[in-house]
Amino acid sequence: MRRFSSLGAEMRVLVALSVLCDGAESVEIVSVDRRLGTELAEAARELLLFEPEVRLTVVATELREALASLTMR
Amino acid sequence: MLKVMPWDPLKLPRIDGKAAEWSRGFLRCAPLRWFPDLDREFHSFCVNLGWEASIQRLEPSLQLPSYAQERLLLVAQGEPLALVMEKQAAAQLGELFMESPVPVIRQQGVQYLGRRLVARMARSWVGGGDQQLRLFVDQDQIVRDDSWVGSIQFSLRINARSFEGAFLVGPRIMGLLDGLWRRQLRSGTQSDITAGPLLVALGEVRVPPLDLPQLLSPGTQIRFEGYGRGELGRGDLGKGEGSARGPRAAEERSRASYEEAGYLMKSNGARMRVALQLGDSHDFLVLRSATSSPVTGRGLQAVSVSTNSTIGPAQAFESPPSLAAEHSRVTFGFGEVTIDPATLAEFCQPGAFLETSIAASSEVGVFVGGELAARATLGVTKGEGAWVATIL
Repeated sequence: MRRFSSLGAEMRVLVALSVLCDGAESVEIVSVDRRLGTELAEAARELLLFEPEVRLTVVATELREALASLTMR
Repeated sequence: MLKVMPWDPLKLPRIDGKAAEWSRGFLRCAPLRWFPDLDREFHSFCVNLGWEASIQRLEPSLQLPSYAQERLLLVAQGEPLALVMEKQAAAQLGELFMESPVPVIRQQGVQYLGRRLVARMARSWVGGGDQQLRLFVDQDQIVRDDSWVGSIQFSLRINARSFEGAFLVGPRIMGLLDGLWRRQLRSGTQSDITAGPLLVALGEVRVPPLDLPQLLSPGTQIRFEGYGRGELGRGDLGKGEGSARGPRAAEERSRASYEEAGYLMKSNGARMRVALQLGDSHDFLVLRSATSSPVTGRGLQAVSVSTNSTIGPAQAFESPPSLAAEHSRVTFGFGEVTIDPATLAEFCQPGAFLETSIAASSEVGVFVGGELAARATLGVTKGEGAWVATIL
């Protein structure tokens, strides 16, 4: 998850939330960012490569970790 | 002789110039019409979250929200746009979504919801024909506060809680939406509906034809009921329609800035309700459409979103009251206007303004069967505040 891991915490939260809530449509939703849209879309695609039964656990974990790093600031 | 007080037309309220400029387009538009799939997009989203959500209000305005805001900066068709929400409401929405009271977590939730909305808007836009809506989030842009010239304010209801927010728009977006709305109105106009000259009428009496010569002789005072009067309101069309009498009404009519109600009347007597105002920088009459607001229904999820319906000329003009065969209609009017069908279609929208070249005057024409038969000076009775026309 190179692309995803290279994002800042706020963007990792955004991508993880969208993948959890929007599934395949998360690519379109996160790409609406003018500056980071391409990177965010690539990161969403990385997460979507996980099989659905695994994806929920992986993405939820990433989301929790990103939120935790935000709250520790 | 009736005791009559003079009526000063310069006491009519003056329009806000900017409101008049945008009154037939941007300020009347129903934005959801350009995003017809938006409610479906959010329907399943809200259901999955267990939310009961509806749009309570979606209103273009020249006012900017004054509350402290959470702001998501956007770019639309190359111009800054902002999606804002009242700070407290944003915090509550974030807490509702993320199920966490921690501020930074709440904020992330609101960011996601805002970006999701923006993405869905870009996808569902149908306003520009084949032209796509280039809509992006750009939080890094520097935007001055004076970039905004108007807003589209909204109020959401989610699980019995209200959330206030708005889109802040710049001049280019405002012009885009204004032109788009007006073009769509005009494209729906039947070109064979010609209004012909329309009389700006204040009131009427019905008299037997044999009484006309005496009625129209110089010095005759004719007391007549106006078509109603409206309280000075800020675009609130529902207020004050209906006659008002009594000493206070009379005093107000002569002294205060008070909107008067009238009709735009066709030669066959068909009439459209208007309110009379003055220009912001001139003393010509400006008409405000006072047709009834169309019934609208808006909502997400449990209540389906319906787009605003507009009133066309066919619905805006009411049939005249029936006239007994033995009576003539005597109408008191300020003058005539000729409006092309497309402009009339725009003006029929409740709250739209139309500037005229009729100078504000206390002198009116007296029309019988659509023909100018005499001129008169307007006044109001002491006590009752009823109109009195004194034939010149």
